[in-house]
Amino acid sequence: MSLAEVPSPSPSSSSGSDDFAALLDSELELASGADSAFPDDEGEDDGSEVEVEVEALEQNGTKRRRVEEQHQDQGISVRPDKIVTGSSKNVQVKVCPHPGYFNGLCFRCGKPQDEEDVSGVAFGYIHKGLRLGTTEIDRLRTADLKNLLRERKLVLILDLDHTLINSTRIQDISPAEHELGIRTAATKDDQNRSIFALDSMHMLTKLRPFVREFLKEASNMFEMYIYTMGDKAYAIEIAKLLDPSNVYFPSKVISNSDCTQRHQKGLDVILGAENVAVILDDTEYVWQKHKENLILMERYHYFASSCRQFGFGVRSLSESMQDEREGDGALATVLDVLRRIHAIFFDTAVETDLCLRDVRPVIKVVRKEVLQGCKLVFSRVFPNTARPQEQMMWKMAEQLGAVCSTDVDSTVTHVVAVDMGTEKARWAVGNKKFLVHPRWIEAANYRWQRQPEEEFPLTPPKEKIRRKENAVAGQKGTTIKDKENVVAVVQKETSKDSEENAVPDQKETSEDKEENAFF
Amino acid sequence: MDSLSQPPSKRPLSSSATDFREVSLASPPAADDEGERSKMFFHIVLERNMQLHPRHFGPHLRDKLVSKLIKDVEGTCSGRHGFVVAITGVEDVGKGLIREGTGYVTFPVKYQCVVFRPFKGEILEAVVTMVNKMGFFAEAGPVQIFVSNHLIPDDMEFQSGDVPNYTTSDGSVKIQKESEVRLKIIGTRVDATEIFCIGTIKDDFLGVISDPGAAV
Repeated sequence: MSLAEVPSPSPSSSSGSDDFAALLDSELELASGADSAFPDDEGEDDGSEVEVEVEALEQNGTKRRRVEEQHQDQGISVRPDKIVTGSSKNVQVKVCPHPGYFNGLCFRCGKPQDEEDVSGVAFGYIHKGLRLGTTEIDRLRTADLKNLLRERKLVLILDLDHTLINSTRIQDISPAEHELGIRTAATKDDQNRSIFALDSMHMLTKLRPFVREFLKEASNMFEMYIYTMGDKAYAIEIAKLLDPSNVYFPSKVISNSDCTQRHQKGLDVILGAENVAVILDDTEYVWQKHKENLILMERYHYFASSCRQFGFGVRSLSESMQDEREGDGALATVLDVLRRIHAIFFDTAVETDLCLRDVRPVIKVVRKEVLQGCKLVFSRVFPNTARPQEQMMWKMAEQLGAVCSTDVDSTVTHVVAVDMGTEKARWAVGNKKFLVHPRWIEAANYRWQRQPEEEFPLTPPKEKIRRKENAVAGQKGTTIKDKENVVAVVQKETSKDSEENAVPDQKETSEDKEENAFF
Repeated sequence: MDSLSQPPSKRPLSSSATDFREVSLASPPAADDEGERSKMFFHIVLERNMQLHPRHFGPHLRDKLVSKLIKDVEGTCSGRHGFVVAITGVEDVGKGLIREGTGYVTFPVKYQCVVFRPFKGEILEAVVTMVNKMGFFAEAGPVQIFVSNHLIPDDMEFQSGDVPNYTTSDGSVKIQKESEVRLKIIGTRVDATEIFCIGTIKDDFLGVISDPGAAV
C-alpha cells in the first residue's frame, strides 16, 4: 500500500480511514497550492474568470484553515501569507453572488451553501436539488422572455383536475358507473379512448373532450406548464397521458411539492415572466396573487364521485354515458379566447416594444368584449343594505364590459332580476327590454360569450305574469312552458340541438345544474 | 485484479476503473490531463464489521464472507471516502464475535478497495442527461454534475425545441442530451449515497468530445 509510505500530516495514522482522512487533507493542500501558485497569470483573463478563480482560492483558504485547526501541532510557515493574499484579493474583486445552488453547491463558484442562509426558490420539478436565487430567476426570465417573444409565444399554465381531466379513485366508482363497464373502457386498447386506468395509483382518469386538439393548438402559441395541487407521481402520470411523446411539458410539470406556499399556486416557481403568463384553472382561490392572469374554467365533472364531492346530486356524465361536446365545449371555447389574446398581444399595429407589453390588460380587454354594449340594471339581486358597486355580480358584469346602473332609463338593455314581480322587472317587460336571471352573467363569464337571453328567463311567480311575459317580452316564447328554470333551459337547448345528437343536450343539463349550485 | 467485478454504475466511469494508478502524494500534482484524472481513484484499506448467518459456518466461511462483503460494499457511497468501485482484496479477517440470542457472528474485516472520489480542479468526462435554460446536467458513473450557463462559454447559446441544446453561433459545436463532454470540477459534495459536482466547460480543451448524432 502506497499510502502508508506517504508522509502524512497526522502522525498517528494507523487505520485505513485515518490514512484516507490524511490523504484528503494533503490533497486539499496540494490543490490549494496549485491554485494559489499562479493567481497572477489568471488575472489577465477576462473578468468573470477571475471571479471564479478568486472564489476557488478563497474556499481553499477556509478549508486550509480548518485543516490547520485539526493539526495544530504542524507549523507551516507559508500558509498565513497565502490566506492574506486570498482575502485581500477578495476585497478588490466582486464576490460570487451565488446565483443558485445544486444540492447545496453554488453552481457558479462551486462553494457549499451557507447552512443558515437557505435562500431562493427550490426548482425540484426541473431537477432534484436545484435551487435558484431571485436575481438568477429574474435573469433567466428576462433571457427567456426574448426567446419566447421571438417565437411569438406566451406562457400558459394549465391546471389538471377539473380543467383538463377528471379523475376518480377506483374505490369511488358508483354502482351505475360500474354497470356501464367504465373500468373495461379504461383498459381497452383503443387509440382514441379518453378514459385511462392508472393502476399504480388505483385511479381512473377521463380526459376532457377536445384536450388533445387543445394542447396541439395551444402549443403553437404558448410555452405550456402543468401546475397541479396533486402530488408529483400523479402529475407525472397524467402528463404522460396528455403528452406521450413529452414535447409539450418537458420538465414543466409542477406539483404540490413545488409550491412555495401552502394551498396556493404562484408564478414564482415558473421561469416565465408574469406579464406573458396566462393561467387556466378552475379554482380562483389558489391564485390570490395572480388573479389578473387567470382565466377561470368551468369545472369538468365526469365521474359521479367528482359530482358528489362538489355537492351536485345529479347524475354524472359518466353515469348517463355522455360528455361535453368537442366542438363548443369549455376547452374549445377557451381556445378561441386564447387565440384572441395571442392575436391582440402580438398585434403588429401596436408600436410598443414586445418586451414591454403585458398580457394582463389584454385578458381584460378580451373579457370586456363579452358583454360590450349592454347596460344592466339589477333588481332585488343584492341585499338592500349593501352598496351595489361592491357586489360580486356587479363587478363581474363590469369586467365583462357591461355598463351597470342603479336606475332604469331608455338606454338600459337588460334588467337582471330573480323575481318577476319587482317594479324594474315589470318595467323591462313593458319596455321590451331583456329580463334575465343573474345566471346569464355567470354563464357569459364562464363561456366568454354573450349567451342568448331567452335561455335565462325568470321563474314566473304567477300564471298571469308568465303568460304576459311570453306574450309581451318578445321572446320566442314557444318552448318555455315549465316553471323550473333549469328545465326550461334544457328544453330550449333540446329544441335548438335536436338536429344534433342527443349527447350534448344532457351536457347542458348538468352544466346548468352546476351553475345553479353556485348560487 | 482480474477478478474485479465491474463497477455497478449505469455508465462507464470516464477513466476506466481498471487503469487506476496507486496514488503517490510524494509527487507534486502533475499539470497534464492524465495526472489530474488519475487522482480521483484511490486504493485504500477500509474496515467493516460483517454479520454472518450461522448456516455459513463451514469449509467456505471465508469465501462467503468475501462474497457478502463485495455484495454489501461495492457500488455504495460513503461521504468520507467516496464511491466504492471495487474490492481488490481482503487483508485481514479478525476474530468473530458471537451475538447472543441470534447466533450471528460479527467479523471485523479489513479490505482493500478502489474508491472514486472527484476533487475540485479535476477533469472528468461525463454524459449529458438533461439540457435546459439554466445549464445542463451530466453523469459520470455515480456522480451527478451540473454545469450552469454561467460556466458554459458565452458564445454557446441555449436553443429550446424538441431537443434542447447549447450551440455555438456557427453551429459547429452542440451540447444536447447524450452528448459526451469533458468538464472541470469546481465543487463537490459527497452525500451518504450520492456524489454531486459543479462543473465548468469554460476553459481550454473542455467541452463536447462526441455528440450523439455523429457517433453511429
